[in-house]
Amino acid sequence: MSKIVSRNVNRRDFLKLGGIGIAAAIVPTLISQQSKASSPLAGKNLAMVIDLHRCVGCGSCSIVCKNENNVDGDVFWSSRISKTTGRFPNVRFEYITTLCNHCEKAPCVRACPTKAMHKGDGGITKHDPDKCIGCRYCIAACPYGVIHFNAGKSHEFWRDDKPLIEGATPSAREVTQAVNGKVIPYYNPARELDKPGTGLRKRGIVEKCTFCDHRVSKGQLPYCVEACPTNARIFGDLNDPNSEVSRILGKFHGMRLKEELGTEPKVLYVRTYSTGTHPKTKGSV
Amino acid sequence: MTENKTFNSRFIVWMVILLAGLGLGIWGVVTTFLSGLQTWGIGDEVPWGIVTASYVFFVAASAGCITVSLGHALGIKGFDLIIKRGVFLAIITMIAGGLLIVMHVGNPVNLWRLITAPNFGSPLGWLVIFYLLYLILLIIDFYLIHKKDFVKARIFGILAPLSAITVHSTLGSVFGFASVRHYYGGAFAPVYFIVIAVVIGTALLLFVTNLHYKFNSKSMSSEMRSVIVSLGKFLGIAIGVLAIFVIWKNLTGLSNPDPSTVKAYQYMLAGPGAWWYWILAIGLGLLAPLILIINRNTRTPNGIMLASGLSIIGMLAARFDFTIGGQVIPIFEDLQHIQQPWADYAATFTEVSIVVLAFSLTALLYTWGSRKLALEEVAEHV
Ligand code: SF4
Ligand code: SF4
Repeated sequence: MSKIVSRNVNRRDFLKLGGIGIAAAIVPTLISQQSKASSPLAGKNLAMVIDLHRCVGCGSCSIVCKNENNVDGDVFWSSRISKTTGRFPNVRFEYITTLCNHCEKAPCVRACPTKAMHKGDGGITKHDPDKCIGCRYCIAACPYGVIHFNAGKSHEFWRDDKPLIEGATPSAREVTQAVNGKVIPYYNPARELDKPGTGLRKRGIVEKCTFCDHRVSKGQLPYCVEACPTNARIFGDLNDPNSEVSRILGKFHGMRLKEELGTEPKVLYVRTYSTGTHPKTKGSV
Repeated sequence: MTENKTFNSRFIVWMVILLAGLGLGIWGVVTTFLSGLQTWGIGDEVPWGIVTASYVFFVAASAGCITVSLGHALGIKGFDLIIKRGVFLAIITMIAGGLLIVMHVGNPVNLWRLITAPNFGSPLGWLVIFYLLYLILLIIDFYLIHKKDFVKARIFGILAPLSAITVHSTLGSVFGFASVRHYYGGAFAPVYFIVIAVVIGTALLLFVTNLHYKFNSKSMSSEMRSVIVSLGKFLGIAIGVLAIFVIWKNLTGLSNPDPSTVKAYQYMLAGPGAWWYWILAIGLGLLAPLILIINRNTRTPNGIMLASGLSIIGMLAARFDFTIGGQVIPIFEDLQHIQQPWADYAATFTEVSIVVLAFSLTALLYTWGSRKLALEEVAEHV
């Protein structure tokens, strides 16, 4: 769509046709469409395949996400469903690592009254901290429990004066001061480069996984994908038939969480977590 | 509240209570602004708590008061006696509701975006627009009645109730739209909300009108008495209709194929929420007032005042149940960073103080209005 507009219609045509008033409304749209076309992610349909058979349930994805995105201690952009099921002695441990599904038909985007939650290039569900009013309707609407509301200031821990061991260790605040005091000790400034406010999310607004848009737009993989020791998280463009994700989904059925809701998640799971096999018998009556 | 505008001792006690409530509420507002919503009991599992529930209550009260006043525009006998008070109550409850919603959001500095760049795909986006439109209609309606321009007031007497129904059913859709939270009832929510509004609004109008006469030790004219009694009967019918809704909501909820929905209903009917649900929401909100209204001996202005008072308390509790019921069961079973098998939500003192502020503000505005705006004036039919 954006290509057609930029080829056939220029700004002057619009001014002639529609008058200044109408053009004033349309021009910004055109400009944004043109800039969209130049975005490295435009036209892509980004997705993550999680191979549960490769996953060992180590939780690295959840931890490294915190480093990369400055996510606070009790907040999880990347989380997991884990449970022990069955009946002794036939029990099984299940582990499904989760994140924002970047739903094609995202209920959070539909719910958000200010368009703070929106679909960005590559199909990423993004959040604009400058538009968010903190109404938490997105949390009520998201079927996957992946949005976090910052009720207080983030990283309160690093403002604490109490040392872990009296007389032996420094307090968290002292550690923070040692690294110039403005930000948390493990702060990653890269998170913030594209848009101020996305590095340390302020009080009163929500936050969630961004598919590491700050990395992906530079041609890097999301950090959880990069850090997964077993290559269980695989990332790519579904519009490209040669991408790894497309190939895998050609071979295996991609299971999506709460598929019946029609949210069309872009996080797809293949195979199962269990590493067990079973003997080649037909069973018995 | 006194008609003779004297500062008798009763009035002084009343004002002291209200100002104390106002003071407490202002403390709550300041605490919330200084320390953020971490001073509240809400979190990722239960993002909407008692303030949101009270917001629904106040909007319902407003929409209900004005819907009942449709009786005046339709020329029903006796409604001319209560319409002015009804419209005024609708305005001040809407103002209190506005205060609650501003407090509800975590980042109110961005609220202007709701007007300049709303998302028309979101029911919450629509709600704000309908809300403002409704408030404007209400104020014009009241102004015309106050200026005794009953011909024009009649038009607004129809427009305002229509927009009230729009506002409150849109608010219902805000909940219904969160379709994974089956407790909110999906498409059923907007209709359910209209019935609730009628009950709360009628109860509030009856309670305040009765209280007004009691407080000022005035006796009611026989005409006024008969309006109160017939409006009381209407309240009984509305509660009866609501009771049918409640029964079916619970029965269909308990037989929902989704196990987490069944758990939410079990939580309310037989779990940790049960005493609150049965005693306050059902007992005080529905059963007690119904008995008082059905019984001929208690179907008097006094009995109706008691019935409407109990119903108001019960309905407020029920809003809380409703709001919490949709959130208490985790949206995803076994998701490790959220509480299982249900979320703990307890309103904090700060949250409650903000609800107290909304009630104190409504009562204060009413007191001012009843002294300055001649609310007992008859709005003639034309
Ligand atoms: S998983 Fe939730 S937050 Fe992510 S896009 Fe879907 S609805 Fe939105
Ligand atoms: S909390 Fe922010 S992002 Fe979520 S719905 Fe409200 S305004 Fe939108």
